[in-house]
Amino acid sequence: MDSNISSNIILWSCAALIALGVSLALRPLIDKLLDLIIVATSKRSRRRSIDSINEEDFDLSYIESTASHLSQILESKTFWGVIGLALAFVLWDKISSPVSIVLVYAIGTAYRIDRSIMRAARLDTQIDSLITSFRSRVVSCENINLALEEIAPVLSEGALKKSTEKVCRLLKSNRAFRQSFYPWLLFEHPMLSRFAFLLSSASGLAPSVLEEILDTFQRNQQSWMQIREETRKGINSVTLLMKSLLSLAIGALAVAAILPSWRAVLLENTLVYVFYLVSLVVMLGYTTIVQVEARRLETA
Amino acid sequence: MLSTILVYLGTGLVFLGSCLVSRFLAVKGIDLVVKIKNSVPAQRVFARLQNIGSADTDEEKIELADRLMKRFVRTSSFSGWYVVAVGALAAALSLVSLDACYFVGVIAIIIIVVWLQSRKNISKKITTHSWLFVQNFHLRLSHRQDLYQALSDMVSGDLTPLGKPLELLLQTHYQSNLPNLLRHMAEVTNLPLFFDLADQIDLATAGRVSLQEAVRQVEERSLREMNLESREDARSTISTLTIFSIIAIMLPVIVGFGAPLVTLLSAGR
Repeated sequence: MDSNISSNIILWSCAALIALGVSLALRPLIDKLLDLIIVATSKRSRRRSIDSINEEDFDLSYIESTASHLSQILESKTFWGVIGLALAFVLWDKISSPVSIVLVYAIGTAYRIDRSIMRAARLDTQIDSLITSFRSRVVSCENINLALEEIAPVLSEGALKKSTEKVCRLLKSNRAFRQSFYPWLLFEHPMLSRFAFLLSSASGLAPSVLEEILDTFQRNQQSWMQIREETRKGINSVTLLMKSLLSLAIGALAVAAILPSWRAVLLENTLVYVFYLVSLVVMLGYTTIVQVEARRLETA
Repeated sequence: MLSTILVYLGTGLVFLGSCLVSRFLAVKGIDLVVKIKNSVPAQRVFARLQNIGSADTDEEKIELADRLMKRFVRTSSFSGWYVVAVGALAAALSLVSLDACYFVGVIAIIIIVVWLQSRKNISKKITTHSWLFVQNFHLRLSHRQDLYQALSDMVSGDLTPLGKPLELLLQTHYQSNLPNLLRHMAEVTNLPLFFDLADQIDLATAGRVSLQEAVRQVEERSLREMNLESREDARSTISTLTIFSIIAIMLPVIVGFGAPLVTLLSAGR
């Protein structure tokens, strides 16, 4: 009787602790959700918040259209999920169907991480070139608008060039100085946003002071770029390892699915089969974590 | 009898907890919709801070500013004690019921992982925002050349969670002694950056260094710290992911290929 009561007390304390934990966990989750919604709606709300600027100035299509339709499809989670499911239906087998869903999704994740790293690296280089060119021009032009107008045509083709041209147009059209830099904020790139903030606060500064500020900013940006480069190398090594291990896994699991003796051991022993499914769930969780962490490191 | 009471008490507690959570969710949900419909992103970030309450006297303003700053530097919503309690309970449960122990053990591991991750993220956020604060201050100082004006300007343009506490502190007696204002911020947040800034301002006031140069030095130190933390974060995340890659991808291979292989080999023998 006593042991029953004590076990009940422990079980209920455990339930209460879990309830408390869930309530504590909900708060950061809601904060995260709020942040996610902010990110998802920020482009629209930024556009809405600046009524005085034409809708076309905040057209995001030029940022999104830089990637071809095929790349956009290949980079969507849904595509890889559907391919995995389709393959599972085609194979319709207790061993190969679950593994095909997980492996296709993992391959898709590795591909998407590679692509996002490549795109981010290209954007970083373009932004670096924008900042360097601006710094060299602003000294001779002594005017932010003129310096930007001079560098816009020499930037390499792409979303950043179009965005810089929009900034120049907004600066020319006598909009509020701060609002003119909003097209750059649409990239949600940490350094470009800081550069936009710096320039939007720099009107009326003496050229020597501006030069000194830009000098400090560029040094900060260079050290930031170096860290990003190191981080990218690290993520690349993780995806390379991931791809090699996935190739190994595909080979080994194909053998297990094809050879009758292997199939028999896996299917006849319930415990082994359950462990097999659990291990696939662990792998699915792992791919999600890798993706989240890679994105976190990339956007930090 | 006692166990029945405890069971009902426990059920009541869980029910009460879920009611509180539902209410919290409903209120937050309504707030969320209103905020998203009526505000721009920067306002949304501050809306949560501004909703805390109004303050009229100096003491109230300082108290409110302190609360906001403590909230900013709080490393995790999960209390460390809670994590310890769950871990201890998982250990205690293993003496009573092994099945329940597995369940609580898994939850304990998830909580610990989330807790560590959130500590890491928040610590990085604090370093980045501190640097942004000093960078913004440096920029404003370049415009105004006056300490008080630069700090006042920051209130309107500062996008870090430190802007609101600064605004409140500037409305109190601290406005007459800005280094002390920064020292107060340092004491509350425990961020050495503010002590550093206050000391440099004192030196500049005494005429030993130029104010611009002093703030620039603090900014550089803050940047170095942020870079160090970023490097450390990237290094630890990548090494964790590497180990995790090997475990997570090899696990199905071990179970799906290795286990039948061992069985077949032992049967053959």
